[in-house]
Amino acid sequence: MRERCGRAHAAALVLWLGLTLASTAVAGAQESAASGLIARARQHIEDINPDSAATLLQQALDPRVGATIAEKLRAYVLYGVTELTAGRADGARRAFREALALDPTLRVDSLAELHESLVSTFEQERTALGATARPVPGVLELRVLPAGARVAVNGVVWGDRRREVPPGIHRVEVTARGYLPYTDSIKVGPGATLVRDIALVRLEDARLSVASVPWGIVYLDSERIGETPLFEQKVPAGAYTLRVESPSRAQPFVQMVALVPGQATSVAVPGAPASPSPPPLARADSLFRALDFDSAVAAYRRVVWDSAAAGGAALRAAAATRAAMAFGAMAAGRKDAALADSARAYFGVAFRTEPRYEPDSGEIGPEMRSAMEAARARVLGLVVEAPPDTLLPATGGRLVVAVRPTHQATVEFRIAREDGETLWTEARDAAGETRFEWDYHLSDGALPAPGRYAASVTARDAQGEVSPVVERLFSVQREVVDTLPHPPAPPATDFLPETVRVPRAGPGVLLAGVAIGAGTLMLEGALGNSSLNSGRSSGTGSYLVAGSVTVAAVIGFLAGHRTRGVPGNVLHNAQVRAQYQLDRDATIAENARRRQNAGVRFRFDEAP
Amino acid sequence: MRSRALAASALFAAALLAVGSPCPAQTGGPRLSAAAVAYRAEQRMRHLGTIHEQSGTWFGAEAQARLGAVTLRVSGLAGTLTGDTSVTNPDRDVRVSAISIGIRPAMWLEVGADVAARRVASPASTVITRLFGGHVGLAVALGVDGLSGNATVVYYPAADVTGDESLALAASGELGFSYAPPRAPIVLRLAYRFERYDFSGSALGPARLEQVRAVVAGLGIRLRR
Repeated sequence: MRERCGRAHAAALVLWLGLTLASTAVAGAQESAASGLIARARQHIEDINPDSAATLLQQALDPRVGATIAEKLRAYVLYGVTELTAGRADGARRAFREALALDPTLRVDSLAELHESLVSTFEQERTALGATARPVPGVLELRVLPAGARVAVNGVVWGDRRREVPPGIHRVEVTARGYLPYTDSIKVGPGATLVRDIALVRLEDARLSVASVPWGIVYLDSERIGETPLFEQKVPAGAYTLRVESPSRAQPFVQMVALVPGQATSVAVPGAPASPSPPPLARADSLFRALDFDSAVAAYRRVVWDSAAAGGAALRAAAATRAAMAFGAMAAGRKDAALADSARAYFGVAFRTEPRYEPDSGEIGPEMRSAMEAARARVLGLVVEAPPDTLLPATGGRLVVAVRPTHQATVEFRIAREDGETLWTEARDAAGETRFEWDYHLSDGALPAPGRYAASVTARDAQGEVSPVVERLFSVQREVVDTLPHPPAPPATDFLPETVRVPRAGPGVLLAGVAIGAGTLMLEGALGNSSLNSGRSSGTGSYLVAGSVTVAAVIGFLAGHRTRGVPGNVLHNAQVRAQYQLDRDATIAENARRRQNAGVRFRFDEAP
Repeated sequence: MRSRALAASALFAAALLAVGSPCPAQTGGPRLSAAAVAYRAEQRMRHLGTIHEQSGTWFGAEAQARLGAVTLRVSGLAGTLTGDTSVTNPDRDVRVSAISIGIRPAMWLEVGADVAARRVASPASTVITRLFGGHVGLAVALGVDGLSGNATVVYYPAADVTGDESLALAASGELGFSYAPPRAPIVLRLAYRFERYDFSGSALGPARLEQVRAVVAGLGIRLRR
């Protein structure tokens, strides 16, 4: 059922469009089937071929052809001429009578060249009929809505709305773009004034969307409709010449379009290939160019709020700007204030994200750019410029970070450790670029420990607008300085022997051996019980051991060596060692001094 | 007697200190050594007014571990003393076990504690004596690397004797030399040892005096980690 209704509706639309186009053609070129037949018949008359002309005129007068009164008048007169040419005066008079019956005031003076007896025969017939030569004309006034509608009476376009007309029936056609055409036959009596109010029935508007890269101004016929992106702009239905002009385009884009009431028409202007979009934007951009703004906005929003989107702030600002453009186009097309608010909000998001963001000149038209600049002026953004790599001395330096609010605001600058502990903060009123200088020494004078830090900046203007917090991470490192290598230890060749070995052990060895030997012999007497040993000599074993020890001592004395100190060498060696120690201590002290004075390096991460 | 013995020992020690060179310091990780020893021993004993003599050969082993200034020694001996086959002087089996720990306050001096057990068994009786005492040792280098002269005196102020006997005096002394060649992991030892045990009388018998003198020879190996 729904499908059948749809087909019927479509057929009706096509029929209407055909009628519209046909009426436009008739009105504009005075062309119809009857007119064509009459024109061809006249050509035959001029070629003295009356029979062929008569045949064509009979066809033109056939009621199925639907000739107008004026056409019928012309056809009857010309038919009379063919009869005169063929020598049939009666036939001619009959034709003239038919014409005079339709318009008794009809004159044929302008056709006198077609036959020498035309005017006389025609006037004789008028006389025979007793008709008036110059009837009193009437007045026809057409009051038409809309005012700019095109009015044609008997095929003649009227620039005004009130004219004198001969009494009789007049065919009136009123057309206007976006309205149903009006056609009627109106009879005006002699000397009468007829006023007719005609209000055309308005058709539902068509919706037109146009996308182009670069942007362009859209014209329908010669009327400026807007600039691209144009989204579902409501325009009167009808046939138009669509023209898109762009400063970046040498030739305008021109295309005929038929805008159907209640229906949306999309036109994508093939133009200069757009620069390749970054991957996160590619899909959204393709939706944008395809005029699927709802889907494009959703895709852009994902890029805007995806903090991990590669490309950083510039990419997110571009996505927000394009989302704003889509919202703006939708707002204009749908006349929706909420969508306009969304457009403003997304321009604001773009400039909060990246105050310096500037879309391509070919991307955004003057109207949208105006809205964008208004948002830029309203949003409080911050541009923070930190030196990527700064090496400062251990004492006396200052780390300088430039901050530029987009307009007058109180800027607060804060430096904190990675764990959140604030090291330094300063607030200052700033209208343009202001420089925050951090004396990077802590309260106890120490340098900040190597590690990760964050510089965060925020601002608030007099209206209470708060900027987003711009945080820049940086690392602090101590400069790696060249240190002196430790002096090598003095080689062994620098030292002199502190002792010398001389042959023969000391005499103490000999005496010790003798003492142990003697002790062996005395052991039994010293430790034994006298009552048990009285009169008893030591055992032979004691002599064996005593002798052995003594012999061993003698051998040791003869074969052994002893060492003797060399004081001079000892002193020399001590001096060598002392000098080495002095050199080493000096190197250590110098290295410590260099490390102490090593500069502090501040490395800011790239801005997100 | 005792005062004379002490005086002699002191004089001997002083002489050694005056003329000898201390042994080289022992450094590095623990030193281990083990040696087989042989004693050619003669025992002389007076009991009930009669002096008896026995002799024999003992074999045994001793080991010592030295870590820094601390030395631990363990030794064991077994052997026989052969008498004259009479009832009053039978053959005896002797087993001696000893353990001592010493510390060296100086390179040449060692003092320490000793525990020894001495078992003397005869067909008539078995006497087990447990001795608790201390020692003082001296070591002097004799000119050649690894050659040193040694003197040690052990005194046992406390003892425990099986049966009804008790010890009035127990002491021993040993002098000799040892040689540990620098390029070989062996150690040679030769010493003369003298031991004295004075048993007090009891209700079962009169006092008994014993003394042992022996030539000690040892051959061992040194391990060093």
